[in-house]
Amino acid sequence: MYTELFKLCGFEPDEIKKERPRIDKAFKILGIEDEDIKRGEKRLKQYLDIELLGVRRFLGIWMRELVNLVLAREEHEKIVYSDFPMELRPLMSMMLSTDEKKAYFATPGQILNMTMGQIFDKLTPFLVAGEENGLPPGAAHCALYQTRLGAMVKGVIPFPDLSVIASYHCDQPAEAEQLLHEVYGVPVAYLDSCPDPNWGDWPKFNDYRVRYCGSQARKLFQTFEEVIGCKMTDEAKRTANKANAIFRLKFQQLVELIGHADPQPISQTSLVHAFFLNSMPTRDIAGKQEALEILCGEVEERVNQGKGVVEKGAPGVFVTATISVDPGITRMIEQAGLAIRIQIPFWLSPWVMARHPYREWADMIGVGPCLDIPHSCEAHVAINLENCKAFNVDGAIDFYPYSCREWVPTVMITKKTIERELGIPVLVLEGDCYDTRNYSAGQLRTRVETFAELLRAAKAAKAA
Amino acid sequence: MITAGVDVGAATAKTVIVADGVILSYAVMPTGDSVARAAEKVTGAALEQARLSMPDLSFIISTGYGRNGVAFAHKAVTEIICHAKGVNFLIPAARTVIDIGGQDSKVIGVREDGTVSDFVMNDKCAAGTGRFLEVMAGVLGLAIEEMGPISLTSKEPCNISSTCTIFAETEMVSLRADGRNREDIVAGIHKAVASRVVVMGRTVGYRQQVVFTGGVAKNLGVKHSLEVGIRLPILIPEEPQIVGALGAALLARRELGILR
Repeated sequence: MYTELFKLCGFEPDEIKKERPRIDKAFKILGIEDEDIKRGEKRLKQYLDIELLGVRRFLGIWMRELVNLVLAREEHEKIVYSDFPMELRPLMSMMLSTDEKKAYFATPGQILNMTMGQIFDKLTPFLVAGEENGLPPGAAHCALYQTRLGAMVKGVIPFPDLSVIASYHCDQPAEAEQLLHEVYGVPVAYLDSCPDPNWGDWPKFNDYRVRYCGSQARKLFQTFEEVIGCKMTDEAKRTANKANAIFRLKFQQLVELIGHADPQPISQTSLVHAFFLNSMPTRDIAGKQEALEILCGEVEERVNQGKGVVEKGAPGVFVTATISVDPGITRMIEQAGLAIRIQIPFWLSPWVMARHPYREWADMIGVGPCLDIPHSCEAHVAINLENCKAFNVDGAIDFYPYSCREWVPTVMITKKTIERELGIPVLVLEGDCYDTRNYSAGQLRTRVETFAELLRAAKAAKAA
Repeated sequence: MITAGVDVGAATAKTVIVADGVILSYAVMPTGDSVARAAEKVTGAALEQARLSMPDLSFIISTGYGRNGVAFAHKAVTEIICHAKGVNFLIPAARTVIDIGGQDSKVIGVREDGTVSDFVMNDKCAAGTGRFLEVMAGVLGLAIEEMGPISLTSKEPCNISSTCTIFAETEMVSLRADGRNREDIVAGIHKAVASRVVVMGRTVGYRQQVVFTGGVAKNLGVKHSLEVGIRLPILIPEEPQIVGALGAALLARRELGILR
């Protein structure tokens, strides 16, 4: 019943046959039924550039991880969880220091979002369970963490032996993991930092922030070694660093290729799977690199042929959203006739990369540069502005998650700054990257379509 | 050249039929449970008034939240664009439109040519919309039409501090228990709706002439509170509910011109 679905996810018939017992077991636990599979197939065809092999290969990585996640307890001795915004390199270093049989590593919130959310549109039961078990509704808890907690308490995914979490981005991961520790007895290791820069510090970091974060990373590795019983190896750190750098660089090239092409060659929804592998540890390093190489080749071919998903000459926009659960929002923007040149944080300007001082602490702990750790609200605004300039967009759309501590304070500052500095309009949309219940797509459509009309009129006037 | 605009909103469906820049007829009726059915019925009613039939319409534009569910429309355009166009036709000096409908509220900046210069719209929360007023009227046992005239007799409007429909309802019950009179409570409700819209619209800015449209524009109490909030006089078209549909019908004329 799921053969077609798995084919759409890049599986070969032999693999489907071989994996059938595991898939059957995992799907039974997940409660995936025929109607879910049909819905999944429909959504993949509706929202993604599913005809591209690269896209299918990336989907396959996420589907394999879904099955691995559900069966992790019976297939591995130890389980380590993390989730966004944990930096990938320390995570991968820990993972590669262990034997595959010994330890399973995952970011379950992301896996569930990309599969149960994006493909099957069946995330709500997990969210509700998370709300009922310690992360209540109406308290602005992050839906990513509600999802993973809900899946654990429902018995769909196992509780981990260790949870590794970052508390430098916002308080929500630390708060949710504290609950996991206090109520369910899961050991938790934090990668802490002190996010308190002054306005005007950007792009510099205070040295104490770098040193503190470095020391916290060492502590994190020690906890990992104690709880999981594995020694961190330099070889693992080097491999993680190298694999990450190669993937990231290629991904960056792909993003730039799409952002500068006219017409926009593929939907930005088709990039989300690759993007989130920048923070999800998978042992299939070769597989994800190969998928990216294939996708790059396919996109290049489309660019050369002048094929696109949005009309040539369409107004270009910068969109501050990476929506993993609901591909309909991104597609809605494209269907309104806007070419999405770039989505933060798909791309960081070379200016940001060259000056990012977290390289320093990263060098200290030997795991390489951590370019995606946010510096401050000021940095967030500056990076948004840089993105708009670099891709010469006609407007920007700030789709911000209601409950995101990091995002919310910058929304109006970003709008005012871009409008003042670049003279282009910014549309603010309230939403949620992880929970479709927190917005009304129809209501957003009215605003997006009107904004598209404004940008078309402005572009036509400029041309005249 | 006869064109029609069909505006299917959350609460009501409206159709306006226009011929050579003149309104021939219009109809308004509740949307009910089916967008398609409401659109057909309201357009049928407008056609009947004008003694026309569907083939007489050269171009039809649908608008409103149900715009994509109107199968017989040639094109769908957002209500923001249609309201700007409709207001510009009725009051050419208008530069700002405050539109409060059944489930949303908008502040729209309008250029001289009737195009949108900027806009802001509420999020999915019902506060600051017609739905908010309906719920409050229900709690007070009033018909929605009674609220405006009652509030204008208030001498000391209550402060409804919560902008959330659910919390405001609780607050109203408390005010009633405290013995506050009905007109002050209703005026307080209007103030709460207006203050939410006034603050929201500041990012667009209020420039004269300010025009109030949508079903809630029939409530003079809200109009008064908005005027106090923005410190500018507000005009209301004779039939504020049909402005979106009118704009759609006018845009249909333009569309036809382009097609030709």
